[in-house]
Amino acid sequence: MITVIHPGLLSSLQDAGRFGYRSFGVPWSGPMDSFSAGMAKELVQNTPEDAVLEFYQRGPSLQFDADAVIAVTGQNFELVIDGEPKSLFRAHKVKSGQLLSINSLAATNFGYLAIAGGFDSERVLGSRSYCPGITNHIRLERGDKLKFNKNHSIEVPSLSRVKSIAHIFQTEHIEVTPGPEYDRLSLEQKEILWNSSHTLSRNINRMGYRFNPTPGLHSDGILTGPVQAGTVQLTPGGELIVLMRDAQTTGGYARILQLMPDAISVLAQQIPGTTLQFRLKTTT
Amino acid sequence: MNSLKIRSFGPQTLLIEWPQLISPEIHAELLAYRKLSKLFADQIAETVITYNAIALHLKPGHSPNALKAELEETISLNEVSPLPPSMRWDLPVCYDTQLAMDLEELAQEKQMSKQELIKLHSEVDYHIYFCGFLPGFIYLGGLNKALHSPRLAVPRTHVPAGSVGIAGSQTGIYPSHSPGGWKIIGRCPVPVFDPRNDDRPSPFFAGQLIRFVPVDLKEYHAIEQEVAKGSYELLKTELT
Repeated sequence: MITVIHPGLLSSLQDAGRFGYRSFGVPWSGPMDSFSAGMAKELVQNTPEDAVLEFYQRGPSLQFDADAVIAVTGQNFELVIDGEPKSLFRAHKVKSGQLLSINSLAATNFGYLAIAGGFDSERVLGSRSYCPGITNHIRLERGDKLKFNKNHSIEVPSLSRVKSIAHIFQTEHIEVTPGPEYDRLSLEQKEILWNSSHTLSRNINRMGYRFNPTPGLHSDGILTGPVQAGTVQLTPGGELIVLMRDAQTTGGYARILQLMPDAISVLAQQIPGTTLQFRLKTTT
Repeated sequence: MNSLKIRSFGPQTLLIEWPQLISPEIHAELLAYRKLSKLFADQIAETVITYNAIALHLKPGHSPNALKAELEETISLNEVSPLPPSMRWDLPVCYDTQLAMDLEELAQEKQMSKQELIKLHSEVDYHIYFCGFLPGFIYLGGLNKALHSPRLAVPRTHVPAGSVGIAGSQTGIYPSHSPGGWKIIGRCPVPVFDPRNDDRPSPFFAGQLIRFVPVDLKEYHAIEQEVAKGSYELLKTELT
């Protein structure tokens, strides 16, 4: 068992996602950055179905009352076990009674903690992912108890060190394909869309990432239609909103672009103020 | 048959679209195509429909363009007949002002009595178009024009689950408690969304009808108790 001493910010359990209920308006959820979450799971030999603990900007402090093997991934986080700094992207033993803390060293977005054996939490509609409107718990809170499966070797797997994946996120380009309403844009608007650097606003969360309005870009709404993670909506006020993992299943803004699946994870790790350009995915 | 357009929406989704209209006829046609798409269930992970569109989210390893070709061939070979509503749910709603925070004000705004307002809201068979916005939120069509009204200027931070509201030309039921700006004119004692029910978290499906049946506070609480005991069953009528 793990006791939450400090929950961190917007911390939530996220497994691969909640599938099969989209027609009931249920989002897929899942980790914002599937690269980092997947790497954490790989390091502790989780199965694809296991959940990770996701946190935003500030990590949690966790008290362990059983031995465990964990791994933490993310950018600009610091992992400390009983006062001793430990490397990210590597599996570590935590002994019963030890305190684990994750602090941020610089501006950052999402980090992940995976545990050998996997978290043993409640499944709602087939998934352990926290989600507003679905699960009672929508974020980790002080005093929460997290169970994990102990019937697993607590040896630190050999070859547990992996290469950093920081380079994946160091990009100025987000790969996209045209969305259903792309052709509503005028030629001039298309030029502005492709040639401008778009600045990520402070308004980012698990549902969507908003960019500061780009002069010259705007679009009327549409009759509410299907949307998905990675859909780039353009509002009448000129804001670009990229829908993320907890986004609604339907929306009423023009869907001008669609991010490639990997680009969703790349965008997830961009911090407010970053400038990005959209790049058309070239078919191979 | 209306003109429909089939194209990819990202690398994993195929989108079938009709003209941007809210119409029971287009929707009946759309439902027929959704049924037809089940022929390709081995390729489709999830299906989302709206007023005028079907999104087919594909399983890994399948391409929207390949499915588009197969679907177009099937459409050219089959006569697709629209699927009109086949059943109606009777959903109890208590319009008592204890639960209907905005009923009195809306009646005043519309210069009608509360009774008239309740009658106009509960005498219609509403068409269930689809689920979206919030988990379990159903988009209903058919609200009487006399009841159209803008959202509250200042949204509430907490609207109880089951609240029945009006926003613009829409009426709907809050599936879970949430912040919201709809004008609340009643409350339904029966949960419209239950995430504990893996088989069917919502009883309602697109293409069915709903009628609101006014109940008083006493009946509201009696139904609430029956729901808690698990002995309440929604009344449904098959349509011929």
